[in-house]
Amino acid sequence: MKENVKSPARKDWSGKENKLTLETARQRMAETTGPEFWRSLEELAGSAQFREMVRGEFPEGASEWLDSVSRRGFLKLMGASLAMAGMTACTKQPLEPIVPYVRQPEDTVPGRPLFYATAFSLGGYASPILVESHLYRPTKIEGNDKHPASLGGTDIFAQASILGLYDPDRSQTNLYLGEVRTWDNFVEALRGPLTSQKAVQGSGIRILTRTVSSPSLADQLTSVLKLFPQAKWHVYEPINRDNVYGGAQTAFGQPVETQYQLENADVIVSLDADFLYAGFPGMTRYARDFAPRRNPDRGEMSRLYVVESTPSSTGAKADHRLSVPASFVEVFARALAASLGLDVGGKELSEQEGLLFVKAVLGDLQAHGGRSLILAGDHQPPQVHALAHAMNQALNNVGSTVFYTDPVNAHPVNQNDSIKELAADMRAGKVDLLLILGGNPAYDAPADVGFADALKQTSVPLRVHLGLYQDETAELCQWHISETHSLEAWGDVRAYDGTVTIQQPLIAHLYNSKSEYELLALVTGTSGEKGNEVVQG
Amino acid sequence: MQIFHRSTNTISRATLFGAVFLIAFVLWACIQFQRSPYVTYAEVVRPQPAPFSHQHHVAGLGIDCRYCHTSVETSSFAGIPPTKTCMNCHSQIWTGAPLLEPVRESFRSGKSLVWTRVNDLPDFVYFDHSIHINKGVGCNTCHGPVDRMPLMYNYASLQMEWCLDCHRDPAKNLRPRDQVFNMRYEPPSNLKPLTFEGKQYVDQESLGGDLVKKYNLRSVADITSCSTCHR
Repeated sequence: MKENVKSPARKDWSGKENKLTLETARQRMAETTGPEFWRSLEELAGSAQFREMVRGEFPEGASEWLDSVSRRGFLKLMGASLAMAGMTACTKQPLEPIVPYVRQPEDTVPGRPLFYATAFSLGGYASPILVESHLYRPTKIEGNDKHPASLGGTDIFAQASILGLYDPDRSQTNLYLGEVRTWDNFVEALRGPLTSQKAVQGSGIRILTRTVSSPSLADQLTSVLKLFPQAKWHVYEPINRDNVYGGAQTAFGQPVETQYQLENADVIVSLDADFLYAGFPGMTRYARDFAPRRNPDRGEMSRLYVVESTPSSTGAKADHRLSVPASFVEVFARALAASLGLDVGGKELSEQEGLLFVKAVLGDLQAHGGRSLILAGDHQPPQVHALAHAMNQALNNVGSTVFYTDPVNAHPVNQNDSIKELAADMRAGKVDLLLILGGNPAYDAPADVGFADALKQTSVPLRVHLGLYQDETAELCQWHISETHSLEAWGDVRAYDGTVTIQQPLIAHLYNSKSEYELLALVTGTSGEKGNEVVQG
Repeated sequence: MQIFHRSTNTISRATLFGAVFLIAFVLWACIQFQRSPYVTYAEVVRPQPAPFSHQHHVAGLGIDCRYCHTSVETSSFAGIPPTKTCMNCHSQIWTGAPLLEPVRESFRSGKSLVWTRVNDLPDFVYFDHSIHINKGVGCNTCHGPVDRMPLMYNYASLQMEWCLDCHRDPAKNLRPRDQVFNMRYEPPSNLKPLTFEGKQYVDQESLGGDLVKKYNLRSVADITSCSTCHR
């Protein structure tokens, strides 16, 4: 049997017994070395199907040139075509229009870009940005170096957000049961349910938002809750900071925001905290603060210990890295806390588990008391966060490398519990009007909550979804209102350090969309209020 | 036994010989056609919504180029004026003229006037106005006697060979920067010498040579490299 393109080292087990037992496999592997090892179990077994597959993979004559045009002739033709490509300019150019403004806006110099300051928000945290705008079309995102939360840096999510603005798949129309409707239709449709809810103090109203740090939106929601005292405000985002606030709750009795001052830290211990990569609130500022301390010419370099489960950018910058399963980080944290003298029930790690690492970290932390820092990753359980807080306290770091403020999140409830409660209410028939402001909870809520099912099966009379895309949630709601992108709407949002950053539009609404503020204005009774009016107020 | 008549010899020789000349002629005709105003629109007036007369506004009224083409010194794109610039004057002068009805209509309705682009380069060429102005290339060097055009047309073919003609020797087209917007500028000659920075010049060559140095023009190799324009 002729096999065409087989590497000479590949051993042919075909013809032997088809069933591959462990013994046979061991035996065959003992007979072969290096390149002769199997590439698939079928190959090692030498099954008939494998032989067939190999024969079909490289059929006879596959590597021969059988065309009537020789290689040379083909290349000649291609070369000639390429050379003629330059002739595209030899055509008569059609007449082109040139269209100026009617009233040219001030400061516009055609050909030169203008920069506008706004903010991009992810998970409720603002990334301050300057957007380069060519003739009032935003094209590129740069950092805002005057803003304390980033000092001019941006992360990949901020950079990518410009593409979301021009996404052709964005929702362009409002829908009612799949049919296109106008905003006025929606306002009409909402009037009745709102009036009837007034009578029952809003006990049937539920508003589901993503993480809200915007003072304006929080104000609006507070007014809604004042108007409808029995209504409920739920918050859910798939990648949320429940564990962070939960840990703070355990440690301090109330949810607090933890902020770091990395320029003061001589020793940094990261418990699975990827603080140098996008997604960690404050990452742009932390990266700026961390970098100068790594310059040996500027004084003593800081030292970074990272305990993590997957390779990350922070781990790549670490001086010493311990790679452990994510579930083990808690054990590590307890061991470290115990060795610092805290009573947390930590057992000493074995050599294999990282005993030497703990000892080294301990030594370093004790030598730099007050100038060290322990961070816990967002997704680590609340216990790890509480341990980090306790350790920072024990090491006198509070006030120098870490400090605590009011939460940036305007409504720091446990989001997983919040959506569970909402789904339960929906199933119990307690919900008459459900407003989903952004996000796609039917898709990304935890599977055991069954939010999509709750939307489908329960008879919530009026379900409204405000979103950028006509996604799974929009399908399950009666009304879908297209949402404005953050680059085309007014708004405000807080950065990781609490600084309120105003968002301004770079371009007029591309479609007939509305922002969260404008939708809520309907509920607060100030219908018709524009986004900028809400933010100004 | 001869199949062909003796004259076939002559005919075949003449045909072969002539074919070469014929092909050469055809090629020459194509090339000349390429340069003709039919293809390049040079000196051909293009249809416009309103018959704007540069001659009247520039030569007659003395309006400087920059009053309307505002970004010519600061940006790559010189731009044409928004309707408001026209209405700056024409809301007070010739307010009822039928010729100006398209302009008034545009201002009233908010819909821009759609002019036909006269000086139009293909999209694969990057042209920056400000650098040319700042290095001493005058407006009418490229755009011709705009102040004597009752209707706008293209003075040059704007083909690459025309651009290269200057880029290969910029000295012959430079003028002092304060003369860039002077439509009646004449290069220095024996009859009309030019004084620039205390020195008197009687020919363009010496003036151009000094200006190249003074205005810091890049070398010919630099400005004729492909990526200067084909970015």
